[in-house]
Amino acid sequence: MRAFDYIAPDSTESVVAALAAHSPNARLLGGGTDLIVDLKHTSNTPKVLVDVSQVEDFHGIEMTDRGLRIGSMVTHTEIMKSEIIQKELPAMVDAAHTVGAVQTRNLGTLGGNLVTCVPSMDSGPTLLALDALVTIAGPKGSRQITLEEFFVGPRKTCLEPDEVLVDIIIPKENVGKPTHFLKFGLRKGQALALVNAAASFHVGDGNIFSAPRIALGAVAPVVMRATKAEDFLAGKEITEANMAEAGEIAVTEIKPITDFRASKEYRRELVAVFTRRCLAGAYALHQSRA
Amino acid sequence: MIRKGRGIGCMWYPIGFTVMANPSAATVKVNEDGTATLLTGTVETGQGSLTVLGQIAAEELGIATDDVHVVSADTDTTPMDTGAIASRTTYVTGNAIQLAAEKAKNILFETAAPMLGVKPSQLEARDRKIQIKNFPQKSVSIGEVANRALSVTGEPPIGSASYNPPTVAMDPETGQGKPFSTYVYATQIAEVEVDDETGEVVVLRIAAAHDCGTAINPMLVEGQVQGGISMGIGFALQEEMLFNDQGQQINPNLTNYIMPTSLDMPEIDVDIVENYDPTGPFGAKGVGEPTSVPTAAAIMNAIYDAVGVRIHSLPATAEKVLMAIRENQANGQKQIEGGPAQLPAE
Repeated sequence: MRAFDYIAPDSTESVVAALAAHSPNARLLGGGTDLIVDLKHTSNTPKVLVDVSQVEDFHGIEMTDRGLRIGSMVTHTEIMKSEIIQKELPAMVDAAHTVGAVQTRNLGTLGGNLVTCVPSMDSGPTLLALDALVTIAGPKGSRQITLEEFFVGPRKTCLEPDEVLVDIIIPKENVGKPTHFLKFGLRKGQALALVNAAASFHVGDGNIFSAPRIALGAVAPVVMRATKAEDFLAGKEITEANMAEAGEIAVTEIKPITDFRASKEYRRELVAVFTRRCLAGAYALHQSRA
Repeated sequence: MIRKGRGIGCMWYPIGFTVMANPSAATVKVNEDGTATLLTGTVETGQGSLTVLGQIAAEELGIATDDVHVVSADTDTTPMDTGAIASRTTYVTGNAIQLAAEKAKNILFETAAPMLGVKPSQLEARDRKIQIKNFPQKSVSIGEVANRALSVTGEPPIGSASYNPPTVAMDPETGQGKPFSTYVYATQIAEVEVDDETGEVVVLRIAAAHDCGTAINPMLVEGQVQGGISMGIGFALQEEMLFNDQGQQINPNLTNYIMPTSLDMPEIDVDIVENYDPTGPFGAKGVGEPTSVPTAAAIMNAIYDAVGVRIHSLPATAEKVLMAIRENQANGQKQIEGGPAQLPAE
């Protein structure tokens, strides 16, 4: 690691100004759980680290008229402890709980997990299954896009070098939507996902799948939606057979790779099982609330 | 579906190899304040061996463990030790220390005998005192005796000794002989859950019964058993060095070389089976390596009990277990056919 400058602006505007002044030689420092590890292993040390932890806009979990707003600097531990998330979106708590270890969850942030954009990120599937939006600030002001558009490729988002992720919004209609998250790693703690998955749907009149969403991680270059499986489910009766069929369809949509952790064939098996189990889990949550 | 199974693994393990020189040496010196200093060449690797070795010296000298200052593993000052290997420390190093402490104690007895008006053979060392056997009311403190030995009789209470398990040549024709001093025995029972759709194996509980001779420090024995089981679980389910076709390891770090975390540990019931061995210090043998020997076998048997598949190459990763289940299904065998009775799934 080489020497670098460090600045800690206290407003979104000053972060954007700092990036404008120093990009592409600046990196944003959130919780640092990915960045500091990278800095140790790269020869390409940035000249300036812009610490965004002091920016108030990037903190906080609250209901707004648009939906549930989660600041990009909110840590995984804060998500696990949030009463509103525990009550409305327990799948997010489950997902946050599987990130790294206690120490990484205390420091690591939701925004950082999304920005690093590894395909196995544990925050991605649940948020994608909830149609989350992200707010991005840049020199031209702020813009809002879907999380799906935000993910571009492995370790690549649509953020420009002079832009910063401000917050994540779960649309109002999806706050409380029955959702379930599952992760499969090679051990119970501190494991990268071989596969992670989330499913959500509303229970429509006549016990049908309404607005079904299935999101899968670690089986494609980015966290992805299984839209064919979603289309299959939409309007169909909620049955175990349909959940299993959706799992089989989801398998046809993924592009898993073989690496030393698992073969692509095994990842396909997991996706079929996990899609079905996530749908069943979401339905169980709905029933437990009824 | 989650299926439960139980499996048993048994083992014996040799303590104190004799096919080649296997010595430990020690020096024990009794100080004028009644404490003692122990010099040993062995190294503490976190298992608590220095505590146990200090206990052995203290027990022999009749003082408290806290009274023993252990100086270890400094090649400038401490005597030869073959090493913290082969589950030999308590047994071999412990024997050397007991012998060294006994020599220092005998000097204390020689010194104290005229002070108490008896023969040295009538004395014993207990409760920081040299006292007359069966007449403990008549005693003198070890510090006082040591002081007298140093400044009056002029024979300071110090002992050095070594122990080398008696070497026995093996018969070159038959290979028979006595390759080790003694043996320990253990049985572990594993209870697992196997997810027959993902192949995931969760170890719920392990019961571990270990013979270690006399358990000089039962809490440390228990700790060793727990640590060995965590290694055994890693061996059974997770740990594997992976190489590319150039022979380079592709997981040379603890991110990708998977070992159990605390979350992967089961409930462990440790049962120490004390079994006095006349050749060990106070009857002790050893417990280190044996603790991880039966774990993987017990887990593999439990997997077989749960889902009817035999995993013959470790680790039994979820993928490997699932593929074996699929193969079993493809062969058209019912999982319970020919196998043991299934426990009801939860």
